[in-house]
Amino acid sequence: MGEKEGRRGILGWIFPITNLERLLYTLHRITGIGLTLYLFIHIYETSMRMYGYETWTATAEFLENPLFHFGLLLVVLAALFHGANGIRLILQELGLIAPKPTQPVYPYRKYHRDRKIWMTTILMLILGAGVAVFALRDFLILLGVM
Amino acid sequence: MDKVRFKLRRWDPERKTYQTSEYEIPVRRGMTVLDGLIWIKENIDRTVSYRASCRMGLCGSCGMVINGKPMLACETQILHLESNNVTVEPLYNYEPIKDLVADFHQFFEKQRTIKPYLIREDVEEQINPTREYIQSPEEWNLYIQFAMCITCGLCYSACPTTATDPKYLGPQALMNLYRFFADSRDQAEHLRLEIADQVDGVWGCHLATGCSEVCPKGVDPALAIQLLRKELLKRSLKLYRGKKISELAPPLPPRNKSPYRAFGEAPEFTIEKAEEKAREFNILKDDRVR
Ligand code: HEM
Ligand code: SF4
Repeated sequence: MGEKEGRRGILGWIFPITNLERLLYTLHRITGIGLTLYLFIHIYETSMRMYGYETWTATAEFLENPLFHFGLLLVVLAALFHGANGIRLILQELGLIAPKPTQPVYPYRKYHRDRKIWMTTILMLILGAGVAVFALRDFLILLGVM
Repeated sequence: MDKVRFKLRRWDPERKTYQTSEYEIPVRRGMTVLDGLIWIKENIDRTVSYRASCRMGLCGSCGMVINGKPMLACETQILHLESNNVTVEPLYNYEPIKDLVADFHQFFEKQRTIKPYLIREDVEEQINPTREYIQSPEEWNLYIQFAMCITCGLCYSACPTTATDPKYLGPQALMNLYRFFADSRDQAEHLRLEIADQVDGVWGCHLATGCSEVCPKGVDPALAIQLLRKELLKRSLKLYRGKKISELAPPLPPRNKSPYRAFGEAPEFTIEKAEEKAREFNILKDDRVR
């Protein structure tokens, strides 16, 4: 997509990075697309079972290496981020935790998060990061480091 | 005096490309990016085009992308950027006209589609007003934040949906829609929710909130969109109860029944009566008023 009618195109999904939510938006989109891609790859991978026991074990052996384990770790991290941030988005986007409008007073503030929004954001990021620790541990165990 | 290098990303309408021009300008404390552009135009290059008017953050004309962020040139001090290089580009997501001037046709076209005016059933009263509508400070608070918009268009430049979707109504139009929805003097609440409830309406928003971050007036379009969605959610759950509509102020009492006389007719004034009262309260020194 070029600069049709002056529009920035896909570059505008990423820039300008103005604030936290803007960054989370980009990450949510990237992880969403990544997860969908993985879903198709995963269906293809497991469809190998159709071609009999030998093909299936060969596929499993082919996938049994650190590179694919790392890929899987990325998928798990992406899913964790996407899920936790997704819950925040659902709460916030449907106006369920929207603050009341206030009269702007100079100097006008930037995007305003009230306590409810901060709490939700931090809680979700902690939830995601918390589970990610377990995923990382399993990855290290798989590599034989732990 | 510091020297700062201005890099202007200029749109050339004849060759239909961008080109970059660089200028070195002297900067004093308090000098804004707009002052810098005026300096360039007056002292170095008279072909530079930009749009500006009030130079005090009220008219919304001088929106530009300064060092990668959409800002008002007149409200951005050069030294506050803390950089010796200042890049100025025309607003993102608008068709450029020339140099730094962006075309606001679509912006205002979108604002027009949300009917940015009070819609009432008493049309005759609107055309030939006789009295005012009553609105309490609490009702005013529901929308005043969104009435602060100066249509500078910075929010569209920060919006990722606007970057790829030409039909998306965008932060300013949707915020303006909520501004009229929430106004107790407006009676078109159902029509307004109908306009909001579209894929290219509030459902096009992905809560990137860049719009609210760059807004120079603290308007928070992202909040307005979430509040609209809340009403739509209520409506779809059959919980929407409608809003309070302002009534016309009651007619003033006739002149001779003015509220100043609410405590009975004022006594007719005569010098004699005044003297009598003064004597009564013992404030007359020499028994005389005159
Ligand atoms: C806990 C599970 C999940 C939750 C809570 C969740 C939540 C969400 C939400 C709220 C959105 C809309 C975000 C927006 O407004 O921009 C979204 C977008 C999306 N999700 Fe998920 N999701 C989950 C799992 C998944 C999975 C497993 C996949 C892939 C197979 C996926 C793929 C996508 C894609 C492709 C998008 C569109 C991205 C975009 O428009 O930016 N999601 N998700
Ligand atoms: S909402 Fe803010 S950023 Fe958008 S046009 Fe109005 S004043 Fe400018």
